[in-house]
Amino acid sequence: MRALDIASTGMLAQQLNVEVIANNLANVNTTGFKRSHAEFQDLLYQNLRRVGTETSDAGTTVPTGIQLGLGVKTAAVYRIHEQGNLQQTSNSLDLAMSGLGFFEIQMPDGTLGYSRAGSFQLSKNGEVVTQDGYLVNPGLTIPQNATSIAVSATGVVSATVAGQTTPQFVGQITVSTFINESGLQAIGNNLYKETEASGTPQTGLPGSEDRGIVSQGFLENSNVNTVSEITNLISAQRAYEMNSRVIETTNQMLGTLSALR
Amino acid sequence: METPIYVALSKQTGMLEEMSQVANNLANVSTTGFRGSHRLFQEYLEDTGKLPGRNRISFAQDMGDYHNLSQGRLLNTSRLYDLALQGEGYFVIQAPSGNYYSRNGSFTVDPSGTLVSDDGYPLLQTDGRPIVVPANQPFAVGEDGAVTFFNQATNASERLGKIAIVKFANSQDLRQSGASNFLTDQPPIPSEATIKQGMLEQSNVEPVIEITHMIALQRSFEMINQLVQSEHDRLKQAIGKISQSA
Repeated sequence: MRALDIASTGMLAQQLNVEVIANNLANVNTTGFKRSHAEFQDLLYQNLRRVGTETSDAGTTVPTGIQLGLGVKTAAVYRIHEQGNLQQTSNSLDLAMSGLGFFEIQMPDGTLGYSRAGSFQLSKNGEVVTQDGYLVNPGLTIPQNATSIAVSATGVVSATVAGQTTPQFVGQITVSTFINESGLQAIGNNLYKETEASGTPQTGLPGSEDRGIVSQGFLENSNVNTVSEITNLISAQRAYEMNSRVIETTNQMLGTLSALR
Repeated sequence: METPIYVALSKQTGMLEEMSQVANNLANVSTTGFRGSHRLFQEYLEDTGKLPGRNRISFAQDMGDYHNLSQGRLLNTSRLYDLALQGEGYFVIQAPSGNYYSRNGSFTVDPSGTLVSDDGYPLLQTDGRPIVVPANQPFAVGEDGAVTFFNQATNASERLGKIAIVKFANSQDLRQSGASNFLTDQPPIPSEATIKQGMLEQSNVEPVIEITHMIALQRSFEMINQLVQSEHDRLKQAIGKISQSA
């Protein structure tokens, strides 16, 4: 019976749904994390009686026909790039983006990675790096005897050196926006890579055009909404149960069939 | 006269094989690197002898195994010696009886420092030699299989070798030997699969699919049983009626 296979596609889809929700909930405290959402589509239909075929010589047609669906498939698991809440840490190298735009990170293989996680540190040479030690574009080196670091809303980095009153200009942070943010490929470690689907990065100063501003001393929290994730989890679990009921019922019906004499 | 029973029998013996295949898949639902398989059946047409080419009886024939080559789930273990393959490819393990190929990436080191599989056989590099890693020191395995370690004494990164990742022209022509190991006569071709250190590839068996399959098999079996039963009754009646009139 087709119902067995159709219900099993339903169970597999809900299983994937729960896996996506589990990933979201696991990252509820990850800086700069963007929640994912699983999108399903119905599988193809089997035409037992094709719609629109002629039924007589007078030209009458079948108005609706018989179309049997074959189940569900996962169409996409995409990220929702809603702005996360800003949490104040008062750490001078913690930067958060308010608005659109990703920080550019220099990857070890020479390409650029993009990240919303602005929890930066200093390397042993005084360079501003991510938690994995990757340089922040375009490469900012804080002088050794700097007493404080200031990052303006437009990304201007300056350091106050001991013995001088005017801060020294260190560098300018640029941020990139993409036409299709959901098309970025997540490679883990809070990093994204550009793809064909995301479009080319539009790099510029924070605050210019549609780009957001940089807030120093803040970190962007994960945008996972625990209440809606738990609600989705409950509905996924019940959908899984309901599909398993279909399998049980089909099993009983087949049992009745095979008991016929 | 007994042909319906033989046709039913052909399917039933096939189904018993398939059931044991499903049981094998389910038993290995948490075996590292396991790949599920299913049996393939085809129609076997037999002439009834009356008019060749017409009125042929269709039997079910068990044709062979189909290996499910989809990627298993990756489990993060953070263990230095755990390697997971992503993509179509196998590790090459040197056993005394010859090389075998495996997706099971849970390796350990033996006392001499050689990287060995679960059953103690060495993992081979692209040049066919085993890999020796330094004792008690962390080493890194790159995505392409290159093994490097940072030598504290010389303060430099040393390259220890490159793990062989192979695939085959006919990916289905593999004989299973043990839970996650395969043997084949085909020559290995270099594969583009990548290695992830600190992760293990779990079994690619989907329990939902196997259980549904099991239910369908069980009901099929019952229905064929019905066929055999009613054939049996029919023959009994025929023999009874005919012997009465004699």
